[in-house]
Amino acid sequence: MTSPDAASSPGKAPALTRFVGLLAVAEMAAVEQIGRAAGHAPDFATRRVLMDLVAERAARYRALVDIITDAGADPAEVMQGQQEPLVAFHDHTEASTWGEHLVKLTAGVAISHDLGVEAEPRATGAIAEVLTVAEDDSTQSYLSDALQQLLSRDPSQVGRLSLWARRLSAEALTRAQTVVAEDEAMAEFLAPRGEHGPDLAALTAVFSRMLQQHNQRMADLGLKL
Amino acid sequence: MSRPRRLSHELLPVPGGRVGLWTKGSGPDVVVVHGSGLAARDYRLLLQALCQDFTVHLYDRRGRGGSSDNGISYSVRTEVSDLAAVMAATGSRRVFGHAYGGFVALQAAREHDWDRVVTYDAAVSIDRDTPDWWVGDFEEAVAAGDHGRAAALLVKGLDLVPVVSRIPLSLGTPIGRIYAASPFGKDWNSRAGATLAEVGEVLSHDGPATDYAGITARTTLCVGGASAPWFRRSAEAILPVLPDGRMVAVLSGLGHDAAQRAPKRLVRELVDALT
Repeated sequence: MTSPDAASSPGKAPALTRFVGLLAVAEMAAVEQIGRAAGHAPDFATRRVLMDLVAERAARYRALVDIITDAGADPAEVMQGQQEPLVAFHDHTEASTWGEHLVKLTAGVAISHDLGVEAEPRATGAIAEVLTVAEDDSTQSYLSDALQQLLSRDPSQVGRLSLWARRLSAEALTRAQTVVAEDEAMAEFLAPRGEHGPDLAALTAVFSRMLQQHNQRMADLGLKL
Repeated sequence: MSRPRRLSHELLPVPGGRVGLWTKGSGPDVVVVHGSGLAARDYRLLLQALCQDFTVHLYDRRGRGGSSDNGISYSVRTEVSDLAAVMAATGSRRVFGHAYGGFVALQAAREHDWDRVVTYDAAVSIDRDTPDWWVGDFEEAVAAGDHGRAAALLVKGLDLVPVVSRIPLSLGTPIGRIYAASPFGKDWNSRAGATLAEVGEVLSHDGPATDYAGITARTTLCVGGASAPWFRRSAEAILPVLPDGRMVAVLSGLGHDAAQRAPKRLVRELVDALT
């Protein structure tokens, strides 16, 4: 089996470094999203929790950038090359209400965690350490509680926010599939390599699993998916 | 690409799949995107009418004809990617979209620098103006396989045929069930799930008209005078923000299905807008 590190294209950083660059850009974008959400937060306590979330994401970002630097690559260059799908995703899923922000943050943190779990068996060294760092459950449960309370206070939002949650996962999934279709070496962090490239069945199983987990989580919070 | 005058069909590779593509006519290339619950073959009259002036490329969106399925989840992103691939492969810079196809065309035009975008009754939701009281019941009806009730809810919920939409659901549902059980309802039954997913995308993409301010193409929004009033309201909301938006052509007497029936008045409007 070709290792992901060896599966690099001429003129590009190795696949592992590109993958870490993608995760770093994701953390950067997450911090921007949390900042936007804070502008819609209903009270000061919630804004403080969002600040904790920023600190968590920023710490992960820092660790990922350090991995790129330690690998001898230029973080700015590597991240620039990976930013397009994430920028496009956030541009196309701009939340406009506190409820939409809450769903996007709750789903985003959880999906990022699931991605780490999927990639972890194929990662080694420093990257494995970053992926396996436990998330702060208190932040995630605060957001989940806030969403549950919002839905029980105003059940009329269930329908719209359910559609929103579905749109977020579908859009994220479509973009993720595009990333691995255009950069096959990246796929190897999510599924084993097949004889002639990525094992598509294994990759589809990973995406299906992540989608089911998202749907279950959203359903547990009171949304209909 | 060659310019066939006679009808030709090919399976065109697109990212992550393929689409069945019909081509006919001569002149500038135009891609047609069909509506929800419909397929390319439902637009043969439009194809016939437009192919006098254009090389018309009409494709089956995923899940229809020879096109691939949608995979594990549905997103309009896939539709945008497929449309962009069809535009590129055919060398087209003009697109016409009907209903949900209009929504797809407008979403795609936000990120592609095309020459002409023309829609008829584009299914775009602006500032929560689209009725959504019926979606939960529609979802339950589709899940239960009650396609007749689903059809009645769709027509009434979206006010697709204003005259029929006034009929109470208690009466509309048995009518819908008769339709669903008839040979005419066969296609609807097989596409009800896809329609549900597409309606979900329209509603979850609700936003301000300024979402469409980045469309650079010369854009013409046509609506049927006998179609649901929200099609006209959303077109009128979008028009002022379009950098090169043309009039909202309100075609009196024409209903939501005019793009399939291709009456001369609509065809004239489309030819002008696409030229």
